[in-house]
Amino acid sequence: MSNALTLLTEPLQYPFMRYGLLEVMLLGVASGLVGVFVVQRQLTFFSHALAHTIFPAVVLAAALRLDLTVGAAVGAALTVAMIFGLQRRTDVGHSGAVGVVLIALFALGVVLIGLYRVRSPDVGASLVGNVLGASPGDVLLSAGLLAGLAILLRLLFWPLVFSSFDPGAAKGLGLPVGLLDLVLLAMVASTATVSVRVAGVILTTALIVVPAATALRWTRRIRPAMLLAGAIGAGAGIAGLTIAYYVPIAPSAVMVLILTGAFAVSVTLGPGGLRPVRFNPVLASRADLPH
Amino acid sequence: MNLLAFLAGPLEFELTRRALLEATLVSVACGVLGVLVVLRGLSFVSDALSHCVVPGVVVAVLTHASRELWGGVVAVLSAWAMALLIRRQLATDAAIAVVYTGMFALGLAMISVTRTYFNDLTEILFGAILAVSPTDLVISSSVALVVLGALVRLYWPLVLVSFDPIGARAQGISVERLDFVFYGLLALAIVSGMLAVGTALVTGLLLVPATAARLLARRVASQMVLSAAMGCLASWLGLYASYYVGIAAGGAIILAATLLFLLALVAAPLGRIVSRTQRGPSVTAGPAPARL
Repeated sequence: MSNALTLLTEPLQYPFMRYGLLEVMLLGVASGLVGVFVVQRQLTFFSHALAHTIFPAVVLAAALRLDLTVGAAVGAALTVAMIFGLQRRTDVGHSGAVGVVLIALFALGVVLIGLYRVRSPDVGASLVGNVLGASPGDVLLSAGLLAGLAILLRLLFWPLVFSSFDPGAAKGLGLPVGLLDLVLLAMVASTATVSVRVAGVILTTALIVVPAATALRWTRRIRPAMLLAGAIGAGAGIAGLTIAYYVPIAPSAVMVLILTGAFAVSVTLGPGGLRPVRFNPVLASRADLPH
Repeated sequence: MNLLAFLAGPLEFELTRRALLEATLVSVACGVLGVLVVLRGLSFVSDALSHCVVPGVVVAVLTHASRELWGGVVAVLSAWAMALLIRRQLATDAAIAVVYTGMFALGLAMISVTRTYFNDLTEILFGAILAVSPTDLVISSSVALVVLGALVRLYWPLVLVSFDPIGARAQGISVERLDFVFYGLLALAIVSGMLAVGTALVTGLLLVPATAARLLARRVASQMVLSAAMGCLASWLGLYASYYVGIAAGGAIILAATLLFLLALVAAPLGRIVSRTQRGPSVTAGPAPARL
């Protein structure tokens, strides 16, 4: 018994493990909070796009010796602005706009990285994340993000839920639906901004979407789903980092695989069965569902 | 004469000649198929599939086996699994994200066991078109031929299913069997494109020229021709830029395609105005009907 306990506590003696664990916990909870909205609003492709466009912005900022957070934020803002600009053109289409902006900015980043001769290991490291390299500043930033999200959700929880689940009725009641959408997008974008620098592209998307999708298999109530998603994200982060301490595998990959496993278990054992969770038939039918 | 020398520059070398040929083959296959991808709203699905290929390629890299073989098997199986999920209406965007992040992480986990994996990973993600072998060329030309052949043979059923799957079924078309073919072709195009621009950028070859073509042409067949043409033009522009400026080829090709897309974005409304004034006022000349 004490043996198992030492397995868990031994990594804690190293500062980089302590910071790493703290960082993944904070990011896991923050991503879980916004993730429930992302899954419900079908913003998965959007979050995926953000993660892909913030990554080159971060690497580029590193190459130019600029502040990484500022670089990431600029990348996120550019992405949102371009997607929205393009979505106004009906002939481009909703998911077409996301796809084109995603791949165009990503390619631009790849070319610029080459031009500034950023070394391939650096690019690789940013791509798969560098959780163990989290500095106290990173942890502080993530804590700030979580605090900001918590405050926003405390203040705007019902308006956000209402405008997400029934935008028509919300508009009818005089809620500023457009403004609330913007707040929600800003929440997703800032989570991705903070997350990509440390967690990398793939873990950022997975942390936002998968825990929320898993939690929604068990409960359809928003607040419990948020808490559960946060707990799943943080738990997978801690477990993944601890496993990666003993086994030489990229930590972000271990975490994503744990999340995938949790989803698979929830689909098999959860109350919903294989059926996808759809709260709102209006929203579901309106989105570009593939066929 | 100067221009001729400029154009002939890259053609002097075997490697760049191969790269140009490979990029052309891939652009045709991806460009033509991309029109159907965009038409069916499968942008996200195609991007997800390009992530799903990664574990297959990683196995090939680790065992020094053929990337096309492993990547192809994994791509085709993932594509059919995705088609099944979509048909059963299980493929919400969150479920798609669970699948592709899981597959990508599996590949990452496997390759990260080796100590110096960043270079291999970078090559898998961003391609190495200047390292294309004659075998790769044979595979890419076969893929292009299969895609073109299937599209010529199954053009109307594929278009009908894309616009109206229920109507197609009512007409006696086996939608399941057709999807089986379509997703198989998509997987082949992704594997072939992966050789040129890498798994992370192959979506660009599928989506960007096709979206641009949709802005300029109305008929699906014209869109396919335009999309393939713009894809080829983009890959030549990208490769020449890569040759003369020394930038990453894969990224340059997608950027060139983006440039063409932006031109199409500006040109599309102008073209619509021109065609309207040429036709003159007519009863039917209302607002352009929404395109699917």
